[in-house]
Amino acid sequence: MATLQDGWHRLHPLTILKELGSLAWALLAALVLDLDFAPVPEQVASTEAVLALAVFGYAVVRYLFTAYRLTDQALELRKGVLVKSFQSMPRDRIQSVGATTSLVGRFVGITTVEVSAADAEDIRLGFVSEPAAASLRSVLAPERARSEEGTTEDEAVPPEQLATLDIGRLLVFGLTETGLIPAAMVFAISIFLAFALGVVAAPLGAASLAAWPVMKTVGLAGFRSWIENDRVHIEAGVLGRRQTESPLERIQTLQVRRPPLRRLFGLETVAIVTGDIAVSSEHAVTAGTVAPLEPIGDWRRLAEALIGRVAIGEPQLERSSPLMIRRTLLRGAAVTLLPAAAAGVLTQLWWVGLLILATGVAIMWVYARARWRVLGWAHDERHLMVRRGVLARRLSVVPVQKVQDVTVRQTFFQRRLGIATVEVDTAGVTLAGSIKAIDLELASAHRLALNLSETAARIALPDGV
Amino acid sequence: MTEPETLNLLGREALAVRRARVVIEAAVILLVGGVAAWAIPRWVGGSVPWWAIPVAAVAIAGPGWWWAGVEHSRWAWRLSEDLLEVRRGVLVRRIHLVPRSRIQNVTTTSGPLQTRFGVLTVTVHTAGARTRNVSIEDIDAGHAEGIRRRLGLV
Repeated sequence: MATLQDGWHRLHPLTILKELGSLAWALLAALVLDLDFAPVPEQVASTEAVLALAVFGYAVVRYLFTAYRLTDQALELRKGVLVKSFQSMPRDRIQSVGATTSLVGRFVGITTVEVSAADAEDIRLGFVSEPAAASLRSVLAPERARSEEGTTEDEAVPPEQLATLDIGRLLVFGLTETGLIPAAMVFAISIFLAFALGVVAAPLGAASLAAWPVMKTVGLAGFRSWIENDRVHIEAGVLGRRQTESPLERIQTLQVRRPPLRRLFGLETVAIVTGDIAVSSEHAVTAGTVAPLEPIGDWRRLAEALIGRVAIGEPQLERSSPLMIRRTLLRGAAVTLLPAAAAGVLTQLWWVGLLILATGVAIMWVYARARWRVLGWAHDERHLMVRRGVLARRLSVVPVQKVQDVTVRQTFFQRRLGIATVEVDTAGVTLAGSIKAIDLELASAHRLALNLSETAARIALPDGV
Repeated sequence: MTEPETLNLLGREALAVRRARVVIEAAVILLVGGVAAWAIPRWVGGSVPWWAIPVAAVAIAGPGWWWAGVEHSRWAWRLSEDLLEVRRGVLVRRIHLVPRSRIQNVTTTSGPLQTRFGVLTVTVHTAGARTRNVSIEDIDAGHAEGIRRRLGLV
């Protein structure tokens, strides 16, 4: 790794191949296989050669103009040939540091490092050599952690293991993924079609539906998470390996996910939400997961290690107003009314429309009752706890100090019923829905919003995140 | 407690700006409709009665004028020692509570019409991932300056 003046470092030379992207692979394939599909006129061949050389030259120049350095205050990145850019990310704003190593990368010893801060563009350094990645990860640790690293061995805090996933439990994780339910149903129907109608390709198409749950499960192979120097570390993957570390103080929310099948077996998944989409996003394989498969209720142990002891629990959850059931029914009736009327008019049979309407309302009534039993909220001086989701249940625990703002929202129907929804916003980025206490009595909603925002206001954070 | 904690409503200027926007929109409709009513019959034949365009403009501007009044009356704000509170919305009503310690920065913007009437839009930014900012639209410039000063941003 070339070191330039003033502490600037170049990326790994193999980054040039990455810059070239698919063109590099095509050139490599052509060289290896010596492809010669058809005679090419000499003029065209020379033009292609000049173009390829220009693209390669540009990639090299881009590589030469890209460099990073670490100062005492920030990680800095400069890049750009014609349009130059300079990005500086203060160390105390860093939300997480991630490293992704592909299978090929593991052989050649290169990795990609991503550094993320809330409300700022990520810095992506790739490729860098593995030693450089390791030094980036350790140097980017918070000031306090770095000073601890300088202490004697006796004073060093040993890593605290959070969760692992052996092969048997990995299998259980995969089999209890919600995506498998529709995939299995479609697969069963396609098997029937294959036998009954001779559509042999149907099961193959249906099996592809299981691709995502399978990919997600495979991506979690070799999972382990631990806390070291006030940072939570997550590592997963066998072929390509992904490592993420995030300062504990940057955790915005703890999420406990209980998909239906997993709940059936008394299991849950615990994840963290930070201001970094790469850690928190639902479609990344690890998705901020700190414990993929734990017995229900084990989240308390993890919460204590990650966000501090949570004094409130699910038994203390307060229910939404019973008027929520009426609102859900009203909504269901409104949604069913149009298809019911259309069916009645088209068939010229009024009872068909009525039957559809009655079925819709009955389904909504069952759903509304179930939803009312699930929805709940509780809070004390330190944490807010919210439970949502009839099928895929989700328990969110938010440290009150992480609350950015609170909104009390009332739609027309809610106003008629005297209820309101309280929405809580943090700097956490997640696709799993916002943190809401739904359909509370208006007075309770106002009280909750005021309590939360006033408590949050009293806690000063160094940078407001 | 020295700071006032009563809810502040938007001033008359805010209503004037909102209604001025409605008038401008109606004028644009009148202009575009007039040109279309003049050009299209020459092109495809037929005719449009002269009164149709002003009637259409009034039909649009009338409810707009009334709606501006209703919407204006729903806006309210207050800045206490701990919180900035903003209330707004007619069909969906919202009360935003922003802890002062979470405010990252404050932006004020004003268009030509707002400048003419001495109002502007104050936007308070937080690090929140969903509600990144909370705005008070068409607030009196003096009040906006007061908010910025009290938030220690001037």
